Amino acid sequence: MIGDGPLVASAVLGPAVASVAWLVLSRWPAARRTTGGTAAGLAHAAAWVLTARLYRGDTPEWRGLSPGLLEATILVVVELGVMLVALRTERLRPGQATAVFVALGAATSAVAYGSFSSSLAVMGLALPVPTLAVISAGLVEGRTGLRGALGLIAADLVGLVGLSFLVADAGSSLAGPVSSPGVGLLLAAAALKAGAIPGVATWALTASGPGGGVLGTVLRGQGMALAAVACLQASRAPQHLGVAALGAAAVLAAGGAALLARRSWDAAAAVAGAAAGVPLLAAGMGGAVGARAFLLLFPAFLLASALLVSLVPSDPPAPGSRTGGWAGPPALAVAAASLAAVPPAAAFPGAWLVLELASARAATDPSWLLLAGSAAAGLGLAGVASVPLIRAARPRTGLTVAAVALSGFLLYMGAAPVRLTLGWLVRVERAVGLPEILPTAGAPDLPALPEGALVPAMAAGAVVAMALLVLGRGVRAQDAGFEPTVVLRLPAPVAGAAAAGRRAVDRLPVLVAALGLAGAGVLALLIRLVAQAAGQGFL
Amino acid sequence: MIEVVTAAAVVLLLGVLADAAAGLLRRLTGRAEGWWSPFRRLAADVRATTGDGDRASVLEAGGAGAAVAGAALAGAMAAGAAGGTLLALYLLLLLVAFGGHLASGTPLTRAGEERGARARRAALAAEPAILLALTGIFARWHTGDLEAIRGAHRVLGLGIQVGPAEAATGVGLAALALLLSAALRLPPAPGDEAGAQGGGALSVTVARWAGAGAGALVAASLILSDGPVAGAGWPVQAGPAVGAAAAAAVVGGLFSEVLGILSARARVVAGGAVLVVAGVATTLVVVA
Repeated sequence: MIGDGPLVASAVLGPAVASVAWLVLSRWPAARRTTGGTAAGLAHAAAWVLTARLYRGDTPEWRGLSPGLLEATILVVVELGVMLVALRTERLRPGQATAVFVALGAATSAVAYGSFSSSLAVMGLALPVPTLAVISAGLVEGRTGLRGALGLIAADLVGLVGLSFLVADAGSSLAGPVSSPGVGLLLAAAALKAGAIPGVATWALTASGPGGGVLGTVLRGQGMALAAVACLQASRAPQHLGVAALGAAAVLAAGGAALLARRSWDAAAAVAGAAAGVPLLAAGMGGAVGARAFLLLFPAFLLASALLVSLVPSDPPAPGSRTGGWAGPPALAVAAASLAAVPPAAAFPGAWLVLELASARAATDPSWLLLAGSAAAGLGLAGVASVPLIRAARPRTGLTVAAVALSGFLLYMGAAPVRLTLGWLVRVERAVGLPEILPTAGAPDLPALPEGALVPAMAAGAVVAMALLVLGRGVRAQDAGFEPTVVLRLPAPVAGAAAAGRRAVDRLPVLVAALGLAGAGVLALLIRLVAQAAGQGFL
Repeated sequence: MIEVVTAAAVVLLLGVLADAAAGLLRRLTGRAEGWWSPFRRLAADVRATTGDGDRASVLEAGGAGAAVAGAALAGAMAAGAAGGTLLALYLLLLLVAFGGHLASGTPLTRAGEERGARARRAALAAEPAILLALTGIFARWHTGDLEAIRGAHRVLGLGIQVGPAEAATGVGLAALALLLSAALRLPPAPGDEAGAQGGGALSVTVARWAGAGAGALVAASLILSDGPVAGAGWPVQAGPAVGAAAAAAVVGGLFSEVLGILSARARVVAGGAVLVVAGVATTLVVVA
């Protein structure tokens, strides 16, 4: 049996080791796939074993890293998403693919390192690493690869200020429940990293194309890890009306942006952005039910957004190359449905819990109804607007097989949330110290849909679909591209000014100078945070 | 649960009724030879699918299936065959819309592409309207639990009977807005141009039946349903609600046919009007 130290070390450092192996062997495709793939697989297996041991009640530890069940689960989910999008990464240009692989590995290790540590200073040190990795990979691609970089640095700045507040208010460099404005700032940084804020940071990176989209997967994971720290570790899920309002407004704006998307990657960023706002709304709502909704939502969001990114149609296969046939679009439909909380897909139980909680609170404060309405409308718009994206999916065979398997799991997550997560939820909630949810208190509780009714309804739908296919004795191949739903024509002066502004920001020297300046700000804050933590005994 | 399967059949029949009402309006306005034109079209689509091999794509068939599943659950929940809440109902109606638009998402003609995009744009107005309408019902009974609403109907009286008059009117208008917004969310009716017939059109028709039927049953049940329904007694046991749903299906079918005739700009105005109706309904309930 593997010891605690090697296990935690493999889980944390494994992704970085795999990416280094990939880089060293990048000239030899078979060798890099075998070695890098094996290293990544072993690291992922270590993360699973670690999660299983924590579930059993063990407390593995290594050099000050003592992960909880929640943090280990976040790593497992992030790695699952990264491995799925990695299947697409090989299709990028050779130099870009290597840079993206290295960035994915380094960023995943940094997310693991930061979230496994209970030291706020270590979290601060790990915070800018994924941004640095993404910028390094973006430089290979040029201007397009640097979209969102300024927003990501801004997220790091906000996050570091938040951590600084936490250290000052707690009087300790260790994460623990404290009432501090730092919690709200960390959640704002999480919103930027999760891609919830339209047009900036991870949203802009994802919209830039396949390279950025793939890298966005690990940043979304970092966003969820930050939100977990803010909502559960650094506080016992307090209510943050501002963060909840930000989350709800972001969902609504993302729903509108999904309808206005002109390119498939814009639509993908918007649909994933709409879903990113819901866990933040849950974290902002706080309380035992808000925290439970967050815990249900983040795995669904991370897995479904990775599935979406892996299938977004942007690189149509060359004529004659093998694709996964008709199975790709349904898998993408499940991903989009999961993100838009369409029942019975993955995010539905968590989103339902958030909306129910908001409407329950509306009995005393009607403004919650506005937040619930905005989020529900945003999800609805994102769901309908994802149709042009779904129909154009043409994944290759290997990716299709993995995507279909994951989409089946996403449907199971949404259809049987209690069976799948109850034991895990109870353990995480107990470890974090959340109050128990008492059904007698009238709090909304799962399941959202009566399980006995779901099966016959799904069966009725399946019979109809099969009847339609049997009638035609087969399936028609579909050949459709992405078509925007709404084409917004701005007045000429406004469009001209927007284009000029974009050109000015997009000029590489200007962008690099701005990034350097912002990076210096991050470094200064980092030094300040470490010095502040050192004053509390960190060193 | 047999009740859910029955609900699937009921919503599909209500959808057929809505199509018949649309056909009648088409006949009265001289745009078709008989009220049965939708069913003649249906028969042609079945022939094209079975005989000519104009198959459905997997998205079209799967979308229609998803719409039927969502409609069956929403219908069962609203009528009282399964427990649930207004928000679960909203998300189930979203599944119906999502499935419907998937079914119309891979058309074979350019005109079909335009119809699909137009229908998705209509969702812009439908989403806030449907939410406002549900908010009106929520505000009336101060609960989102459907069983509690049915209990209030049983004990206090139906939503459109219990005073004050403004609140009763508001509840009625909210149900109307819900019905019309469900019609706004429907996928587009299959076109008549060459190449638009076959399995794809058949899938869209089924998805439209599911959407129209679910909208009608949910709207009627939210103001008329007063008890749980179960077993072989349903839907006869829920007679008034199902009868009202049939009337609602006719209204929804006529509205959806009118939407099909209107120009793009007029359709936006119609969507705005539904939003205004929902807003007025909620305001009346809140003010009362």
